[in-house]
Amino acid sequence: MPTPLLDRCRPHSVAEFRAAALQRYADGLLLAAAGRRTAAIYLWGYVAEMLLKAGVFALLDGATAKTIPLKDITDAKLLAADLGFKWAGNAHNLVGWAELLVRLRSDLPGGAYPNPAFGAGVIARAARVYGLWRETLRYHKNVASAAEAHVVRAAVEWLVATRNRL
Amino acid sequence: MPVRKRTVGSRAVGGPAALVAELAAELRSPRPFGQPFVEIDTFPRSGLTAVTVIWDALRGLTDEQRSAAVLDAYQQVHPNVGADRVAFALGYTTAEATAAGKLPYAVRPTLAAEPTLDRAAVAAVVREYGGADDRRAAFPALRFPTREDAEACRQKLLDRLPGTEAVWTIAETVSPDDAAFL
Repeated sequence: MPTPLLDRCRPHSVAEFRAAALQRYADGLLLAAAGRRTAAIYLWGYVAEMLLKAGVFALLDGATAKTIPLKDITDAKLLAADLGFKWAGNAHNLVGWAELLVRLRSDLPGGAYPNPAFGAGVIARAARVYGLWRETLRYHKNVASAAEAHVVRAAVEWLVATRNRL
Repeated sequence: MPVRKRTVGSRAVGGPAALVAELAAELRSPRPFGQPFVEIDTFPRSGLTAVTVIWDALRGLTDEQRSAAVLDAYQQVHPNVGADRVAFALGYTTAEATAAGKLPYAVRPTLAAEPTLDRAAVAAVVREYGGADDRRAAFPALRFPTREDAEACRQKLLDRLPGTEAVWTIAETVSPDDAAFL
């Protein structure tokens, strides 16, 4: 008898987040092409979240295969105050993850992005996605416009393309 | 053979000169009220600085142009700071900053008092704030990063519209803190 799907899931890790992000990004493209734009945005928001989290835990933990306990994910936002910003809302706040990533890098000697526009770009893209995405989208019947889907896709596409530099 | 001089690479994306000059002037001598809101963070461990600007004048610029404008202005004021000493240079409009949770404090009139307000006096405060007086809106958004900034705005409105102490409220936007959802 094959192992059930949930039992086949690996623990959270940087590598798992990045691999899952690429799959959900591709799923979103198929949904958008089929006119299911709200569902596409719903998945793309998680793509951004996973890539940003992967960047944070790659910095904090180093090894990409290391298991990330759930508590470490929920506790990550406690670092915000030390890094000079207030984390608003829950652990799905994309701007919070982006700021955490960029500020952690800024604080780490030799860790900052080589171009000041790159870190700003990470935060700006996350903010653009977060302006149109919440994890609660799944509870609503709203239909996203083509323009809204384009905004989210463009920002997420940039994060996907730069994922190994985040 | 003709010699062509060009500026290339990331710094070729420059911020609009007038906007850069205005921001540099603000960095040299900040006004006590209104846009742009500028936040300069230093990271002692790395020795780097980060500059975040919230300003509606950035609307219409690309992310790269905004970064370049903020960086150009900062370096005009701090000519000895190289770009490699700036961790990030970020620009938001107030609408974007509000959506990102960066302007949690809003100054608003109570609904009952709103129709009685002197529209011209309110518009003057909005202009000083740096925002556009949107006549379609019931009341233009006046949003701030800190309660102190919002209090300063409320005081300005009281100075312009004496006797309106009971009219102006400061509302804080609070996001649900449901960290258990993952």
